[in-house]
Amino acid sequence: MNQSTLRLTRELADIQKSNDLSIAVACRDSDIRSIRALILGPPETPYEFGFFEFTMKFPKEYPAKAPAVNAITTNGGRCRFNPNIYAGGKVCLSILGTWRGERGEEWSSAQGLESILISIQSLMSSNPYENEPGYENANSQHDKDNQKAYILKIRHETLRISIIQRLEDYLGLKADGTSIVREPREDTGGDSSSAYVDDGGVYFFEPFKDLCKRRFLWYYDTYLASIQTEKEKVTENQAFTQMPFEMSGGSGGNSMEGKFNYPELERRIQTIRQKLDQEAESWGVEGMKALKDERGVAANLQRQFEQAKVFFDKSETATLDMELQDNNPFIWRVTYFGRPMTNLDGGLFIFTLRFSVRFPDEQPRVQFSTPMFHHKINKDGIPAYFPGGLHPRPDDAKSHVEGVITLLEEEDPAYDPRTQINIEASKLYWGTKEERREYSKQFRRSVQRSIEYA
Amino acid sequence: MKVKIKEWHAVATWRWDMPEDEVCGICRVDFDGCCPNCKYPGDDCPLIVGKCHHSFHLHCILSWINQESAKGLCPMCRQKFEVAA
Repeated sequence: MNQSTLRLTRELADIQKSNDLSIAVACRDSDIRSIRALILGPPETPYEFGFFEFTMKFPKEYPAKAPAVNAITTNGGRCRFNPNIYAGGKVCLSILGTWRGERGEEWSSAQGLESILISIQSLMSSNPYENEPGYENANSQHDKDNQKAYILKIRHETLRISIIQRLEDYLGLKADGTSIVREPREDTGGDSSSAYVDDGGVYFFEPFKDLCKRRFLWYYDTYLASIQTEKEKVTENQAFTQMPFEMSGGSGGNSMEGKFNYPELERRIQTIRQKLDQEAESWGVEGMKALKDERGVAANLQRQFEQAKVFFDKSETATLDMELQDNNPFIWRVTYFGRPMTNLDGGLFIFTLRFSVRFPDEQPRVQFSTPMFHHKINKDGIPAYFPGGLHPRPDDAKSHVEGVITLLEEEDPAYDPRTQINIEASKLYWGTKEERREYSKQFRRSVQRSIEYA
Repeated sequence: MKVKIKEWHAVATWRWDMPEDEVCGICRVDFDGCCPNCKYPGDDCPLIVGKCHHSFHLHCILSWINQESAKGLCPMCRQKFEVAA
């Protein structure tokens, strides 16, 4: 270990610990200086809730020298997502030394993994046209039209490339909704090598596969709503407007070309959603098989279930009941009773945790079957929760139950648009006084009705 | 009850006169720890304070300042790095 790896190890651990909703990082144990990073497109920008991936190579001299950063969410080198993020992957940023910067904007050893990612994230703004040098204050009517047209196509390509293509790729889906037939992979029994997918002899490192699937489920309603809004602004098959700073044509092109086709995106995004639901269903079946085959993961989850049950039975703060569906340790059914004197009083809420045989590499899928009206639970009953409890650990199954309860019992949450996954409820919750009252009314109504679904 | 002390061991701790939980901006290690190239904190791995009031492990700031690209500037505030008197 030298200085650069020591510092990187520290930085990686800090980011992974921080539960940051906007950035994620990963690397192979064998090569800590090659880091993959995922940036979530910032809310209220055309990049909203898109998944943008980057490779970062850190030199031995780090932090005295800057890493080399490359964008890889580029549709195979064909899409320039931002004036400063080229189709070829180049990220123009003065702190990386890839852009002429003002004095005082160059790299320094006080910069690091997180500050680079935050800088890249800040490029993904609500009006990226202004990022292009010389266009910062461009305000003619022509520029204003361009700004709008640029935002329109970025939104379309964010949905199409960074979200839909990525998920289709993860799920082995083609754009027409059929499946790519892959050679059956040897089941690795949940060890970490399952992150490596053998594809024609080339090993791809897909560290964000599970994360993106779970976030897709969080933001699914938001994506659909966005498609509906955007659909109204353009006509089908309308070509993208080229920006004055974009260079079109062939392999040397550096632009964002294409046509709007929201009806197709809508169909594709729905197919992905169905496929993800099927996947969670199939985990139960795989789980039963793992149980029969006496696999370690089945015994582990069985034990964790029993321990969690005892924990909650003894606990005075949580009032809930847990059972396994069909005695399957991979499907936990939790019934939560709203406590008296709270706004959950009289409610009875049922949610299910579905575990994969690759747990904890694949995190559980949590869903309420009781209809909920809550700003952090989307219409499909998927909660935007984090593993909770005294010692939140993603590999501790109980942490997931505790996380959902924390979400339910939370009294004064801070506003974070990245967890506001129920558009309607969120608008009321964070709206005017009257709207907040309306939220409470609808929330109480959903609590009172909850008992009917039990 | 009377207690007669026969012998005693003096134990002392030391720490740098720095706010707790502060880390060196270059290696991100606590100031109470040493830079990544040293084994033990103490006089062998001293701290240094700049006129700009930014502090680092001496070894960390030297490896930065010795870079041509550093242009002699403090990595935190990019003012000329000069040792505080």
